[in-house]
Amino acid sequence: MLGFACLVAGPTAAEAADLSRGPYLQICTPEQITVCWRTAEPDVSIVRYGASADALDKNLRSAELTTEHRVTITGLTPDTKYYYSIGGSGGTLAGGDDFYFVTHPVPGTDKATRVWIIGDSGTGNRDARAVRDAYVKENGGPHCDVWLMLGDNAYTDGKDVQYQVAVFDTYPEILRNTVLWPTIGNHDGHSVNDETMMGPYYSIFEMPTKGEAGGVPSGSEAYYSFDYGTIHFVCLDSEKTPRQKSGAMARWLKNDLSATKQEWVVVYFHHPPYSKGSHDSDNARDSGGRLRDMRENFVPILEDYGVDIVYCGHSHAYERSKLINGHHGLSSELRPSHIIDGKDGKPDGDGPYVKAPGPQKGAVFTVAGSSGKISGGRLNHPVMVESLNELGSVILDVKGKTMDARFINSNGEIRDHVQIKHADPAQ
Amino acid sequence: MRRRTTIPPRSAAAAAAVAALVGCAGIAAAHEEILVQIAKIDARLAQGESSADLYLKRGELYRLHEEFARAFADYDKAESIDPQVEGLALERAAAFLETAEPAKALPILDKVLQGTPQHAPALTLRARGKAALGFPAEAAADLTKAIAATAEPRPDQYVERAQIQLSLPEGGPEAALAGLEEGIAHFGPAGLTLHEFALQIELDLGRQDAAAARAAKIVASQPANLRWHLRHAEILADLGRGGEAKAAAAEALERIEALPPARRRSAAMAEMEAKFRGY
Repeated sequence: MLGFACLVAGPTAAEAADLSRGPYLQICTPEQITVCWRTAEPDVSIVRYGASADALDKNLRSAELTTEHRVTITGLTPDTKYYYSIGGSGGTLAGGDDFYFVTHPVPGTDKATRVWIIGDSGTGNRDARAVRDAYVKENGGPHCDVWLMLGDNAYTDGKDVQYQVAVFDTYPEILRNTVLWPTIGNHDGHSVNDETMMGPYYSIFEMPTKGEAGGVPSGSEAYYSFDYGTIHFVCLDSEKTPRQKSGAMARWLKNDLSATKQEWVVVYFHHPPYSKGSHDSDNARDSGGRLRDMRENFVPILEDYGVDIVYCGHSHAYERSKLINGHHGLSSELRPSHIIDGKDGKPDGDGPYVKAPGPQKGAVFTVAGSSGKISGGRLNHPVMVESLNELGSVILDVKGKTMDARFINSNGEIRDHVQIKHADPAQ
Repeated sequence: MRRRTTIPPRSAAAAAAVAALVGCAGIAAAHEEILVQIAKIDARLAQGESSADLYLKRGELYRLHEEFARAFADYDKAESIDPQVEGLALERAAAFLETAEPAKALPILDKVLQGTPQHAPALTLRARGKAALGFPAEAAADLTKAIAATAEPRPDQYVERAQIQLSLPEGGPEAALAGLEEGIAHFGPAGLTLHEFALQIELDLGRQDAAAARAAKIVASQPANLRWHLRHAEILADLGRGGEAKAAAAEALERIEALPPARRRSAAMAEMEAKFRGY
């Protein structure tokens, strides 16, 4: 059996052969995190962790024999970097300098926060890898604080083997040190039973149902919330969960948003309320009415509670709106009163959107569904500032009362930059 | 109510044309994705590939696209190739429910459930069919079985059952409340949504005291949730317990004043603050 300390450089070939997936990180909070991996054969689960890769002085062990390993480490210190390794009865399976996690800061902590957002990324092909590589280069490495995946994570049917290719084989360097928070897309939904909500998406990912990462407990892995620093993140399910105004998800959303004390609120789900890409939000039949439902039934709630920015996928393009409020109809019904700030929101253009003192109005809606492929479309929705048929992803930075969201294409070019500021009451 | 009509099958050329059309950048056809998937299957069939799974998949796509005549035709074709193809019965039953023909869905689902009595999706579909036909007691019973057969039940399952139980000719609200309490016990703090429905039923039944007690319990367990502070204050005021309502509002106001301006100034929070200040 090999010692852990001698495996800093990574697993041996023989050991790696037994590791068929991961490790990847789920449900991080200030005090805990879940480390997941898969082995080819049932085995015990061992996680060693500590302050450096060569000093993994703590460990957790589960004697249960399984191929789907889930080890939740508790009692951690907030906002702290820990290195870890995973292993089984045969020794260490993976570990080293890039196997680490950083616990979330205590909610409300004003910490510079970076979020990577990809949508419809599940092709597992050269395009997806180009988008990934452009992010890693721009970011200076794979790790970021929060990673959102906007659905259609694994084409074409969200099957386990497709997840292997599109997620685990495509992003291994990021998965091992960055917590992934997904939402479900229609393609992932192909392999999820409508009634039991069982399928690869739910068996692969662990989502908080009890409010353990912040927010109001949802009781469902389909929709949930969590906190990071001064940001409250809300994930909705636009695919499978009933979308009525009086439904369980809408009621939970109101409760969740009325309970958060966070400076910023970021919401994400798959079907965009506004899009003229490969899907048309004006068509009530598009995607079974999901785009319309989200716009008519959920956008009003998001606006009422002062949500700042919304991310969706589904259309395979990048579309980013002006600061808008109250536009719940067709694009032809857009009125000047719905546009809170009609400028471009770019710090190097017309200037940022400032959510002014007084009643908080306006959110920016973004379709970021081009992280795996592009599919064109008319790309002319009138609420949009930018409508780009380009591969790419979004890097979202938050510090204090400023939020910056940049769209970086697969060539590494920053093709959009929107900034939102929360004005001080005294201003 | 949608009716089945006879529609000629698509030709391979038409399928190719659709595929070419929707594949063109700049032409964002409605529900493009479903049409693309249909066109891909059309192409495979045109090349001689034929399997029950393919027809069933295309039938499902037609159903999602609300082309029910084509969907039913594909189900029939799938069945002619392989009468045992997995998923056919549920797919066909779902289509009958969507075309508002629940009476045709029920025998199909009965047959599935004869073989697999704890089949949660079939139980849920049958419940919806029975509810549509005016048999809420049987529908609720099926949903109870479906919940029991679901490894990780969700709040909306309990809500759906409660909504059906409310239409029972006798004892509906009581049954709905009992079912919601069962869910609340299961979910613990995550049962907040079910508390909302239960509270509304209690108010509708004129049980303001029970509703006030429920709201007080939620406020105590989730003090940051200002919506429930408001519900609590409103119910107390309705009960004529003005002093308690005022105290509840004062506590909520303290919490609102401690919020970051960005949250406090949201429309919903500003409205709540105004209401609290009115007590």
